[in-house]
Amino acid sequence: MLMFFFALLFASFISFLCRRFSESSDKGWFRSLFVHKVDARKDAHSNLLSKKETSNLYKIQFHNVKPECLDEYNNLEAEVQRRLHQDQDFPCEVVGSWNIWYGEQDQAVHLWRYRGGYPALTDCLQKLRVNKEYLEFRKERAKMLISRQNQLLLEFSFWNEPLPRKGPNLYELRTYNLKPGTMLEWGNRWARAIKHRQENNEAVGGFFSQIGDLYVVHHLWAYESLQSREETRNSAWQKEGWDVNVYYTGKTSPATIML
Amino acid sequence: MASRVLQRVATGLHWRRAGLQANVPAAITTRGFSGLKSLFVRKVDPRKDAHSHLLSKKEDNNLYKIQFHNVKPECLDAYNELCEEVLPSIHADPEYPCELVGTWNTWYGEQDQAVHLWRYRGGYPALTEVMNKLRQNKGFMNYRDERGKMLLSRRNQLLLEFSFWNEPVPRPGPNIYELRSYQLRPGTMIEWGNYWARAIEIRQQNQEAVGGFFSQIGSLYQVHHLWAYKDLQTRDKIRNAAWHREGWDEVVYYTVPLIQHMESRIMIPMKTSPLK
Repeated sequence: MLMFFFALLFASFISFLCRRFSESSDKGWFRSLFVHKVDARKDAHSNLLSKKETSNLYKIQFHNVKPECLDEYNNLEAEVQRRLHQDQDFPCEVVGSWNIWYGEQDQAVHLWRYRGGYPALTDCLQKLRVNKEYLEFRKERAKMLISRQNQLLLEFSFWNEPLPRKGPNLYELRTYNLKPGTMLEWGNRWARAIKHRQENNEAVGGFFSQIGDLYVVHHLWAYESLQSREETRNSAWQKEGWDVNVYYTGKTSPATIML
Repeated sequence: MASRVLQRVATGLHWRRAGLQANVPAAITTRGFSGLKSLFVRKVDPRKDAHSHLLSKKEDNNLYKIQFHNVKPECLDAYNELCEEVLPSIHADPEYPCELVGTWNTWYGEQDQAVHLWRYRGGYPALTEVMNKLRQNKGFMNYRDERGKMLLSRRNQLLLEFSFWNEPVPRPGPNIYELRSYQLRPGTMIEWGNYWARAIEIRQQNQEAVGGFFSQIGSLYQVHHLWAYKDLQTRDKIRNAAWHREGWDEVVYYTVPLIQHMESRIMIPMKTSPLK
């Protein structure tokens, strides 16, 4: 009886190993048991994960502003963004522009959309390079900045596109640094779970990086207040499938949460 | 008993030995129970020699230095002007056995950053010679003082070229450059090199490969791949096309687990950069 039990255990263990082996590197199938599994894929992330029907490219900018210059910076940026956004000549739109409240403070975050992908981006850039007013603005702005970084992002196919919305809201940007090789797995899990987080219109946009820091994912949420954020997030746990999503994706490393 | 089972399983399973170099670690060795502990630690290349002997070009003795300068945003223009005066003069001067390979400003990624890549033909002796001479050079010392006021921070690394990459040579522009930097798990450099040695020609179809380097001094187990494209759209096309070539999906699949962190910078060459 005991022998039978052990034989069964061994058989299932061996078949588990065989399955893992067929998914893992020939160099170390033992090793692969203890290293996170990496997606075997046949195509670029940009083809597998982003929206097929549009070719929207997003740029996110993080500006660390000198604390004493924050107000002046905000006024200047607001003016310039308003003009660029409305000007038909520049194929770009401001999706959103924020100051950080909780997290890294005195940081401004701007999200731009380029309908038309890389050609639109290049078009915009070339026009701005010869625009005297814009160059002046950049000089003025540079005096107010400590440092800045940006990333080019694509939207996940299963998220809703970020649209203008009435306020007042507060926004949460959750940024995840994924383990290299796990983007597809992340995408698959969230594709199934996203509806749990769209019940109160809190989902604004979900993006993955293409240029800049790689294997970075941003999820953008909107709430009326910190209290309603708490309520909305807690209620997700009542829905079936949410715990599974957290369990499988929690193994990737969630990084800074900015509010 | 466990080791016997493992042995049977290992020989019973078929796996490819894909013609790797002799110094690549052999396939799974079966161990007794006492070796069980080692199952839980990442397997690391057993090697017999330094990376600099195993991976870099044998026929020449080039040493590379890469510099990352984080410039105060308001000083970027002044910094670029200063560098435009000084760097080419060091490059052109036969007294200094060094060459400027390229000089860029970052466009996407960490912004307001200048990247400079230098080559020292003659290795460490050449590097030391240049350093000693520059210390005596009043003009250079002034430049460093001026430059210091414009910088937030800077860091550098000494690099060697991978033997299977082409050497970076000047090219006419206008191009945009992408510097992909990978932080590898310690112990995986040889494995990385082996996979890329087979795959590099998939990424040399449009002359997009400029140079591939691994760090020797500074942050260790770092790899830099430098690519040149006409523009971002072309970059997208070329990179997507690689997926249609045989072997590319394998390279990605096997090299990605070796990476701890990776970043990509898009850089615009300066007027005085030999790589335009």
